[in-house]
Amino acid sequence: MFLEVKNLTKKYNKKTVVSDVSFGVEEGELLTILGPSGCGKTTVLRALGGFLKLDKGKITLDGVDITTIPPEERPVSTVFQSYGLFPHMRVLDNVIYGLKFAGIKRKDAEKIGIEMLEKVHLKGEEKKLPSQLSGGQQQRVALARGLVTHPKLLLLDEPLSNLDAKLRLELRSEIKAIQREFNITTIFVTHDQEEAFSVADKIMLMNEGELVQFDMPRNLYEKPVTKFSLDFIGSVNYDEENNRFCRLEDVYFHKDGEEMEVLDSSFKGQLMEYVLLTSDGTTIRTVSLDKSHEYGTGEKVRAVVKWFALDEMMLGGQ
Amino acid sequence: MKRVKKLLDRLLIAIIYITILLFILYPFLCVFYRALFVDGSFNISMLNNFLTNDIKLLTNSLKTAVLSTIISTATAVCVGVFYLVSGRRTRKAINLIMMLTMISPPFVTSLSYITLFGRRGFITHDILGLTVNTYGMWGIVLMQSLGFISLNCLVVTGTLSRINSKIIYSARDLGADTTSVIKDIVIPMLKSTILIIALLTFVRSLADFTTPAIIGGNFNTMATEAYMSMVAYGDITRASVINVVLFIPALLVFIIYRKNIKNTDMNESGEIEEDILSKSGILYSIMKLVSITFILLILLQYASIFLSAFTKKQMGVSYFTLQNFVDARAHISGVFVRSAVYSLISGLCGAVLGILMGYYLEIRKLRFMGLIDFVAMMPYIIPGSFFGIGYILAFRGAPFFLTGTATIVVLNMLFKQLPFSSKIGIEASNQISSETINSVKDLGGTDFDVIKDVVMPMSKNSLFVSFANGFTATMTTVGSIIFLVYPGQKVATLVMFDVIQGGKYSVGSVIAILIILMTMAVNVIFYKALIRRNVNVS
Ligand SMILES: Nc1ncnc2c1ncn2[C@@H]1O[C@H](COP(=O)(O)OP(=O)(O)O)[C@@H](O)[C@H]1O
Ligand SMILES: [Mg+2]
Repeated sequence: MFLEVKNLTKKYNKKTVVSDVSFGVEEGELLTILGPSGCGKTTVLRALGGFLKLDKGKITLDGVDITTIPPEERPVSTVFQSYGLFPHMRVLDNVIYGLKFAGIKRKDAEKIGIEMLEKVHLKGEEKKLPSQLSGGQQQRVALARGLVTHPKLLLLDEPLSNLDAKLRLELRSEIKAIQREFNITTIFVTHDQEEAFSVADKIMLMNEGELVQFDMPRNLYEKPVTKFSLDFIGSVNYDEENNRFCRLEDVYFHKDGEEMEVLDSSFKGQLMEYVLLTSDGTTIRTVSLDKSHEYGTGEKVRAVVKWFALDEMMLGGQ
Repeated sequence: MKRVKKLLDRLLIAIIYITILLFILYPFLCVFYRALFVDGSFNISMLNNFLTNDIKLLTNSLKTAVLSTIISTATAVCVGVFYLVSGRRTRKAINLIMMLTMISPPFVTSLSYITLFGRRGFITHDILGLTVNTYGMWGIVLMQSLGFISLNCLVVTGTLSRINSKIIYSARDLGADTTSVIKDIVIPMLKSTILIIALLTFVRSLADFTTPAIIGGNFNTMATEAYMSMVAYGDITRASVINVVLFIPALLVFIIYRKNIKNTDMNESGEIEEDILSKSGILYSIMKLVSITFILLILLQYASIFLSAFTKKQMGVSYFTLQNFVDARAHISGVFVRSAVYSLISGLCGAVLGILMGYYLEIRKLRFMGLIDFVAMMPYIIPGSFFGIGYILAFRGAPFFLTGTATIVVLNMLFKQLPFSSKIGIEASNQISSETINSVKDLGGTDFDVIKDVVMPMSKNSLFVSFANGFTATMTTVGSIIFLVYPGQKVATLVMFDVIQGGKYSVGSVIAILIILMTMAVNVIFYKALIRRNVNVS
């Protein structure tokens, strides 16, 4: 493993906020840390950046134990949620700041910096101050500044959370493209599962300071190993009595299906969402892309439900 | 009912306009009139005279001010950085020490200097066996610097704790060590703060007459000369001329200050994170050394005052005694009660006036309120003695006849503090959303109801803080009221100043300790009350 984290533990005033988290990332991979707000994502990232004294744990990067190396000597770059740009320095000076410590002459550094700014589509903005840029541009500056020193590990803490929806999509694919181009090992923190699914090679799901599941995005969705994974990722019908679950798209209308009654239907833009009542009295939610055939409340329908046994989820879990 | 309330609202506005123009602008103009007009016509001969004959005073003042500014600003920056890098416990200790100096009368520094380094000084005479003359410019510079550093530190640490920690983390992340972070990030981000504290220190040093009066020896500055002109010769015209000269740099500084105070806003507020920088590097070590020296000097200062209050010397041997407290009684009978009453009144009225100003300025955005705000800020910058002389000139004749009354003293204290209370008031009003206010009106309330039911209740915390500030400032002030108070009506700081000038240093120390204890008690009580209130609310 290129990055290996073992038993990472952090306490604040005796309250454990990250508990025994272990994981690894291969070189060039993009790992997403996903979890609800306050679950310890930022804390893990700060530990990797060297900004925390750990209570326990070991971090190895490219074969070197970096657990106690201070941030200024770690080959790791962090792009903070609030960017942390130097407000008194021009964009170009922000970007090339790290090169100063790599012993690169100012002239050469400026050239490298300008090239870097081009890569993040900020050509011509070199002389501006960070406050003169939009949020998306500031994010790009922070990214360029982090990449310019060629760190072995790039850490992004909710990099898109301060941006509006449209820009978020745009920057998301840019980050992904840049990550590929530089082939840089990256950890991307987010609380947005859709974002996680669209950028990640692997996802690490966290809850209350613990690692819940570490998996490929697809597995996380299809083979949740705990009740938390199941609830947190996507929408789900959970049948407690029979120990089973199904995703909304695992229920589809078909003439060979079970008879059910439509309890409620709602228009969700690109699809319709229905609440169905089965003959044994349970309710099931489902979605349909087929808008040519809409069902009204009270209507009798037939639908097939593809259940997955709950036992499966317990495999390897908890 | 509505009509009455509307009238009340108008009345409040009128009170603000009138009091501020009458008690700040008018006395201010009186000094100018006195200095620049002879027999009713404009005449700068007095000013010319002063500038040609007393240029030495001007250069003395400027030299002292420049040196004090450099030393106290540089030290404050060092202490600020030390504070930033230090752990929570050290930070707390520094805060406590700075608080202590803030509630002490301004010339305790000079007092301790004399007891330590004076002709009969504890260190120079008793330990080193010297009888040297340590009075003079450098003594003034050092004592002023030491006195100004605390306030400057508070401003610097305030700015530092508002810096987004991620900026510093980013720099470290990119490879910057502590020295580089301090040089490239911290100091550049402190630039406007440094400018502000330097300017304020410069003006304060120019205006300070107590330090040179106590330890200047025969080194005179403009401020002491103005003071002596008033006290020794009753020459109010000369005092006015000097104060007008002193006002010119003050005004320049004020203008620069107003320009700069606006662009110091920074994101993220709150506490500085632990271990934000590692304690390493030559620059940090130097700054730490400077800070520790400063802290030791401050501690030495209080130790010496304590010692001087509790000891007496007999035939070269010091022994512990409470005799100084007994001696002090003759000087302070009734004085502390009077001080407390004056401070309570001016603190209370100032707090209310400040909140009202905040409301009319920020929420109502009344016409001319900008001008009123500007005028209300003036006492912050004009020398204290200027303000005091202005009051004498303005209110001695008809229809006021306030000379020698308690009223003039309290009014002076109140309006001298107004810049602080109005600042707190403005901040309080900024916290109130326009929707809350519109809701009152929507439900049929008048502007007066807004004040009564929203602004005042929502500003209670600010009222508390403003009151405690005003009380402290009044308890420790001396500059502006020294000419207004008649003998037999003195407040604690003035008595302390008198006994020090009379050479009774031990009694001075006793009074200093009593002032500190009393101010601390009031602050602690109010702080506790504030906390309890907030706990009850939430
Ligand atoms: N400096 C700190 N002191 C005390 N508690 C903290 C500190 N930083 C974070 N925490 C707590 O640790 C938990 C995890 O925080 P964080 O890692 O920021 O979560 P996330 O990034 O997933 O939202 C939270 O409960 C938070 O309150
Ligand atoms: Mg976070």
